[in-house]
Amino acid sequence: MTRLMTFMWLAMTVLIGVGTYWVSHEVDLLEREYASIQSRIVSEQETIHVLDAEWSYLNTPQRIEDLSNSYLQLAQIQPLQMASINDLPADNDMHLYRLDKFGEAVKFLPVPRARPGELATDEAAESMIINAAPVGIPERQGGQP
Amino acid sequence: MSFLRFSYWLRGDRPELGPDQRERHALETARNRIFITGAMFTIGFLWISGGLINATILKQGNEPRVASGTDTRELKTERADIVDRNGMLLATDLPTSSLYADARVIKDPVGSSDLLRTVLSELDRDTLIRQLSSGKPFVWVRRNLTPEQQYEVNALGIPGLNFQREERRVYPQGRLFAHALGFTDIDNNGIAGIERKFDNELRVNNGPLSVSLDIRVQHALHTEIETAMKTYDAVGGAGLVMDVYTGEVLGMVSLPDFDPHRPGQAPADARFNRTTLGVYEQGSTFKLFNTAIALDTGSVQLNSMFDASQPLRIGRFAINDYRGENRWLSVAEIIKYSSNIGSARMAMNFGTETQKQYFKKFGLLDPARIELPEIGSPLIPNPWRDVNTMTISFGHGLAVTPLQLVNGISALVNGGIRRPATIIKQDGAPAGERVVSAQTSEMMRRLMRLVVTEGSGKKAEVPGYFLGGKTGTAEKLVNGRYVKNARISTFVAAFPMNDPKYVVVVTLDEPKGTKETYGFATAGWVSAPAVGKVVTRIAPLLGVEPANARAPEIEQALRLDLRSGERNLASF
Repeated sequence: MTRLMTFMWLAMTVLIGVGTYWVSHEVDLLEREYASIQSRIVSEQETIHVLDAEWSYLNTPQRIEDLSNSYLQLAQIQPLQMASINDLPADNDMHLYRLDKFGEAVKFLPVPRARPGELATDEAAESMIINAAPVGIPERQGGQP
Repeated sequence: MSFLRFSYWLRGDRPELGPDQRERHALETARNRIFITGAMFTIGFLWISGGLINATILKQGNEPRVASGTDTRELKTERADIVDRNGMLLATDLPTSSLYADARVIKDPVGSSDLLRTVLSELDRDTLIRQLSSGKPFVWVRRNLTPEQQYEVNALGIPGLNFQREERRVYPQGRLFAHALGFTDIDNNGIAGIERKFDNELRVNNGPLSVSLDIRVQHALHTEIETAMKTYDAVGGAGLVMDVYTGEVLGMVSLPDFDPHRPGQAPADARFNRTTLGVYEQGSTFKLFNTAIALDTGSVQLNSMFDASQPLRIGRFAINDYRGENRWLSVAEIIKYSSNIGSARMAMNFGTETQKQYFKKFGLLDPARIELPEIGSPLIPNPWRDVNTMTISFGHGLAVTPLQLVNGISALVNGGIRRPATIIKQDGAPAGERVVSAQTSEMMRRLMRLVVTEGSGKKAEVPGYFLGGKTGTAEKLVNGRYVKNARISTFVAAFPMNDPKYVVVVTLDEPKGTKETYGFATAGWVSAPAVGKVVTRIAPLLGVEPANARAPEIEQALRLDLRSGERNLASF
């Protein structure tokens, strides 16, 4: 009985000793890995930092402009080319009707609103388009179709 | 004797008892001792077992998913980055290697020098030999090598040459922001611009510093001023873009400029920031302030008439108009035709003291309070006589920086509240100080719009954005004398005039007329078109939507009834 106990205790001692050593070795390995990952993170951060600077350098407006001039067919946008979504005919405008010269209701789409660049010079022309009473299909000269 | 007794007591022996009792007593003592020791061990083991149970079962069973290490290292540069209002990098620190020598180790200074000069040929041979034979443990040979140079020097294998990791300030945008950002010396100390003003904050490095500048705006401003300078053969140019509601500077350009990586190689003139340090007489642009004062004090109405039919004589001075109408003019016409005589008469109406008070409130009499070390003090007449009041009314005799001008104009158009100019990104509008009433501001908007639709600023017109502004052409002061053919042509504008959001100023120093401008080098011909082009480029970027000039709300905001003035004339 005593011998069995002694043997058991001895075995446990060895087991615990080996276990402790194994755990401490594992921790050591993990710590080494942790340190190497840390230093890799720092070096990655450094690379990102350098790339950030390069990105900013490559995004220099002068460079973008030169590249755009040589590779793209794009020009400076003019105020005239811009319109807001409100300038488009609304969906319910699609169902507007007016009477044509025969007195029949026909669908019509209102002309979009004037755009910002259109100045007073063509006022007369535009007032004809927008404000004139609805007219029918103009008759052709010469009578016969 | 007592020592002997003590040793007996320690053993639990009591020799004074009889042999039987003595034996019994000894056994009892031994048993007690074993019991106490056992109890101690039991407590100890229970303690450890409890700890084990606690650590393995009771506590959180598994490992935490994310390690919360105390030694997480993060890249921290010597100086913080500087970014623009949209987060684009404007200045950063990059690691470089610098070469130094431990002269105690170097055996053959002459041979090493010659060998080293095969790679770094620009080093001076004599200096190098002197350095390498000095016997000092640390001598800088060359700072900030390129990686390629570092590799080559390493490959030479000269003992005693070592590299020191350093950081170098790099400006990816090059000269675009040279004046605003400033630059650092070789040891990374800020010595100009934002780098100097925020030197301590940048060193502490709590994340990047956000400035109010915008790369895109800056580039548009830079390009257009550069083009104008070339076209009109000007010696210099300056430009600013300011948000009228926050006082933030979005663009700051001073030309000629310099490479911030090599500031030492640039002439002093190129390093001079014309927008904040240069003080200039701003010419007729001051008529806007003058008219605003007159309207705000109530000393005139928009349709009040002033005699501009002949030159105004004060002592030995005579005030003339550049292109005289030679008749009575209304306030609106004085702005439209930029009449010096009319402005001077208007200024006499409200007087010197009022002019001083208002100019002080517009911030034209004190150095600007922007976060830059390069701040010019305005040149103020002393004593300030009535004749000064008259000349200042049309922008002569008081010299201010372009920054003060845009700051004042911002206050004029934003509803009458002046906020200090700033180059640091703001959250919302900072507290301001009322300068003129909202009503005056409203009238000034219409008058500024009039200058562009009918007056001297026609060339700045951009359809859809409703620019309003004022031209100003001042003869240049050189050694206290006006030089006839050296001008400073300024155009200051705000847009969109129905609800001003930004103020733009472009100043050209000594522009010369070309065939296209019929030889004129006045602001209306040279600076106004540049402002127009800048606005065309930046307005879409800043989210200003073009509007229809005939929309009722726009017409309402910009209409100026000039005929009422003519009716008044009839009653004179």
